[in-house]
Amino acid sequence: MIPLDSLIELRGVHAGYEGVEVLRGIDLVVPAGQVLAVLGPNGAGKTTLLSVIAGLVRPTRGDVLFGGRRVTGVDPVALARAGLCLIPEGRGVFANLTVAENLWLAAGSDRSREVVESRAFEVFPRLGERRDQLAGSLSGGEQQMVALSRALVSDPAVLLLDELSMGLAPMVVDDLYRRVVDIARMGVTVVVVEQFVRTISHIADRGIAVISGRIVLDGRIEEISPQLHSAYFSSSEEVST
Amino acid sequence: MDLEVTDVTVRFGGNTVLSDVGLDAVSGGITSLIGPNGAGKTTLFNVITGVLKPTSGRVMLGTNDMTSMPVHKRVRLGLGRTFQRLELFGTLTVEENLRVAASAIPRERRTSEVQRVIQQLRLQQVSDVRADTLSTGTGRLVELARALVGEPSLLLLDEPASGQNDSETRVFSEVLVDLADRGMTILLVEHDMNLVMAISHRIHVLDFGQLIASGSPAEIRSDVRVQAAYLGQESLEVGSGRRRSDVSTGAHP
Amino acid sequence: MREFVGFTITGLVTASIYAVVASGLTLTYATTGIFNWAHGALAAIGAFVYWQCTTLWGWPAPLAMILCVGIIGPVLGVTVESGIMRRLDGTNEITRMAVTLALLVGIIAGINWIWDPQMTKVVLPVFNGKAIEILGQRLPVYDLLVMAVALLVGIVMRWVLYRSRAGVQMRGIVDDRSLIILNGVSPVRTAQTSWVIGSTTAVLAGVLIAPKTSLSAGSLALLIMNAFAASVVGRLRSLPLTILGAAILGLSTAYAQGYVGSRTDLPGGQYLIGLVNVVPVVVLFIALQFLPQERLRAAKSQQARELSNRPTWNGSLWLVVAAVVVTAAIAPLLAPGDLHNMTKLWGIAVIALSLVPLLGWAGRLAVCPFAFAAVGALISAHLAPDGQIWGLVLAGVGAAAVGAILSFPGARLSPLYLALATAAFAVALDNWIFRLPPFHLVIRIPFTEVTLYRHQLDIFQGGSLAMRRPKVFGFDLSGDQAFLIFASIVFGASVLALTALRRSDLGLRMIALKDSPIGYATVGLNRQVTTVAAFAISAGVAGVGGALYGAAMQRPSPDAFNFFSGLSILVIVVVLGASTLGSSVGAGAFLAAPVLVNVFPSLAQVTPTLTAAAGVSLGNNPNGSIRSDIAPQWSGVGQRPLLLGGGLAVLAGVYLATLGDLISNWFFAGACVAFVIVMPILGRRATRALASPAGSAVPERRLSASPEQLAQSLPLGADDLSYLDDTFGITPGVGRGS
Repeated sequence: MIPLDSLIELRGVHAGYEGVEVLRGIDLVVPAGQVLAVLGPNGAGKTTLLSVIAGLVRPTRGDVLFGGRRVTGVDPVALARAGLCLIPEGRGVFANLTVAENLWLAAGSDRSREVVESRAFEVFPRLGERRDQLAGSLSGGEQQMVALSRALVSDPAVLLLDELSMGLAPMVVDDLYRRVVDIARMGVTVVVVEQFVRTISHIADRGIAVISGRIVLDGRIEEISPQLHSAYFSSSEEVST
Repeated sequence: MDLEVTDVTVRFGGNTVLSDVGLDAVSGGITSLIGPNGAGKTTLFNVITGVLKPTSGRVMLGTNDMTSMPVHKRVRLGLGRTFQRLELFGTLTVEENLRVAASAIPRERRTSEVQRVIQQLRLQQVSDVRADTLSTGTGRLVELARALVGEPSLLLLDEPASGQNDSETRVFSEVLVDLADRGMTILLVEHDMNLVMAISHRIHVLDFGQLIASGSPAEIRSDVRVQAAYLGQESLEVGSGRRRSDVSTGAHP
Repeated sequence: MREFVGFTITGLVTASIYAVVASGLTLTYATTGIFNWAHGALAAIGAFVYWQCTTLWGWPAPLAMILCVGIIGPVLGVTVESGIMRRLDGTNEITRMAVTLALLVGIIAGINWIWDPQMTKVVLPVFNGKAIEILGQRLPVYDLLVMAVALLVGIVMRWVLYRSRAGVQMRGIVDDRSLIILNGVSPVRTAQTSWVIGSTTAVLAGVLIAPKTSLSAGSLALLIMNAFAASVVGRLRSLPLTILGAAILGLSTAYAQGYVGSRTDLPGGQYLIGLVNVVPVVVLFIALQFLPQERLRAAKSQQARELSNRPTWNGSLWLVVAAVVVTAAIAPLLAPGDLHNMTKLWGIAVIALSLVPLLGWAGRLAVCPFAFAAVGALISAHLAPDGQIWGLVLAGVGAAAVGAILSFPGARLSPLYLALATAAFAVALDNWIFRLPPFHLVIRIPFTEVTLYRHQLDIFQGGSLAMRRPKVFGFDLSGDQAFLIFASIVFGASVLALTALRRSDLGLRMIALKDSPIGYATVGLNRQVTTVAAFAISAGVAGVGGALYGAAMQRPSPDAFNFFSGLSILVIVVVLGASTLGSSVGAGAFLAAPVLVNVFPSLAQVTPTLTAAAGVSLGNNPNGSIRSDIAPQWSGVGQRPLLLGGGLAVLAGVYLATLGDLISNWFFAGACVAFVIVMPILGRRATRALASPAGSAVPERRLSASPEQLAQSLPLGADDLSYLDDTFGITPGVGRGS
């Protein structure tokens, strides 16, 4: 039985690249169905946190659990097939493939192209018009729509979003996050990495702030947002005490 | 020599990554460049170091126009840099790393220059250690040392604090302050706000490819636009109008 | 006009085959990042199996074709991917290329082993003799078939890439490798698919080309390598451009053949006939000029698996002394025939040595060591015809100049393209320059009859170059024994020169360039200049080696400098360790020592096959076996001078006994083998015996850095901790808390 109160769990996770320790002891439990916002300044380790969950970065210490099972060191391909959908920072699309081909790659092998496309184009009609264009020729917002469609058509259990808003106008961002809310309503657990509280304050159930590889704030988003300013602009030690 | 960047615009295809950015860094001071992810810091850095050519605009070092110079010529003009990810010559020792850098300067000064830099950054202990076995913190010092060979007039540092622990960062920042005191121009791109606020004389803030603020650390700390850029909270006074003006009050739809 | 149409059709037939080959190659490279130098060798397998089935076994052609394309091709693809290429993760581009080059050498040797290369093999085309008239031209039905098959391949490939899931995945992986993983697609599976497609197209091309040429593994592989030019036109990414490249290649070859190749009446026609053979090389060179500069990119996150230690003076002196002493000792024992064969040894070793600075240090690959060697031999033969000793120097200088000129246009490109340029250079020499008829070189003052210089130049002197062995300080070196010792001294001098180079600033710069090109540019150094310097040095050493090698043979033919023999040297050097100077001795010994062939004359192909097999396994051990296997074995011996001295003394005794005809040569050979086997064992024993009675820890154990550094910044490893625990008498486990 999958424990619903901890769909994803990190236990004492340390991780990094080339001897640089980016995460320094992360303990985190994400219950099924939650929308969790991961906040923090640049370089704090937010992206690494998502990469660890998706299996792209193997923790140097600690464990990752998915649905109650230990998945530390499991092949990211297997995790993706098991329902972890990470949309990476920047544009998570194949620039030299068409919109339709991007969707096709996203769907598992058991779904037909027609079903996949009709589902994505229902939510994002604009993509239907651009079906045969190369994804690289789309605007930034449209590219993120393609990326989000992947979450729509692959029926994930968990959606991991890394700075969906980067470099996009706020109106576009709000529109994208409305779709994320729709996806979350279908029962998908969502972990959103953002630098800006404002962009996700109305969609997240809970927020954590990561600074220097540690979780320094954890709580309802409106509880933690007033403390973020001091957290960002002063040292991590002051905040954590 | 002072660094002066004027009206630099960079477009990739239809995407404008930097639009009309101008900034300066004066000798004898530490100038920092900050901004949220995707603001265009790395692009600007690449334009200054010569890895990327700007669509338009000018980069001057002192009275020399560097805008379309290849990398190695900029270095001869007095530009030194470090990398966000260490780019040491991994299979060589620390001293050999510096000797390679010294081979770009006149032969008779090479040995003394290498020794001078080793002493300046107190690297005597590791001078015979292979570079790829060093910790990141020491590696950053070695990379700084390599950039200092030949006494550059302009030093560009790309996120030197990442991967360093607190004591390493402290040592590193002391070195930077010392270098600036001796008249070097230092431009720092950094995420670590503590470091930036502690040692910068002047800070430039980039957001959405535009320069949104320049000033002293105290000015930047209290600048509403900067807070907006970093926290996503918008104030009504922001002029560009590119962001929707609503103050986050935690209101839910 | 009629002529033109005819040439165009011939060109399109050739282009069809090139298109099949090149598109498979491009696809494999784009999806896996591994450039398959053995692509042509895979095609040769196809051609030979097809010949075996149709001509020897009398199978119907369609059945043989189905076997080749339907079974052999895919099986080869799967085998190559899962057996070899998958292990190359984390190695650099040079190692990857070396592995496929080893595969190329190995397959060709294997084919020559299975199918007697002396036997003429002819494959009759299907629909032999049948032709159809099109546009006033009689066009063989087989040619139509070839074009139809190529068209079909194009359509199928297009369908696969755009209409099948596997194909879209392949295109996805070219775009963004990590994103494909996030989509739940396994890159390993995709790589396998692309290797299957690549090898199947190669085999198909081999089958198609079989009736159009006489079957020889080497020339088939070379013919297929012509198609590399088409892939370069496609920048190893774009299939449509690759096919355009194939069209350019096929048509230009056909026009050259038609308008130039058959007409000796043109001015200079006789010199241009050979040029026709190298049209693809010309196309390749032109295409390379249009490539954009190699982008400076930050290093990959992985640490390279390749190392490069600095040779010590001590080590190099040992190598030199051993080389000279052993040569002088063994030479008198050899039978005249064996001795004569062995005179090449040190020439080959010097040529092999030339690869060390380029591959091992600067991280660039030239696949044409024998081409530079040939330049050296030619210069020495023409400018120092009486074997003057300075002929060696001229050979070195001249070859260095050629190396510099060759690398200059390509120095801005990535190692792969530079390697392709060197391959093209070697093929151009083999197929054209060396076969030029004699010509008169006359330099006169313009508008006058005053001749300044007149020389009749016959490059390879009608197929065998007369080379005299030198006389030095009154010593006549024309005898085999004297020459062999002289050659070992030249080898020694080259080793010392390269040791000095590696320890100089330029040597450091070469390593630095390999370690971090972007870091190199940022300290104000010019990458192109260093690349050209590395090439010039390498070519120069090869030139000296070539002059020695030629003088050893006295009348070398162009075939002695054959492209594939050069590749064998390259593979051996890489297998033994491209950054180790000692690897060159191995190359000389393997290729010149006649032992194996003498003992098993029927197995002439054993040596290259075994070497190639070792090369193919490089993925497991990218630093070469000298550093990883041999050196650790002998380190114990090196630390015990008494043991080493004793062993050498015993060996010297046996040697003297052999010299005095007390015992046979075979006994001495046995003693040498025993020395090599027993010494490392004794060495290990001695080290252990020394360590255990003292009761202390292993003597080499120490901290990874000084205590001050460790305290300041360096990370304490587990070994450091246990060392400290031991030193301070702390029970392990206590006081290790964080």
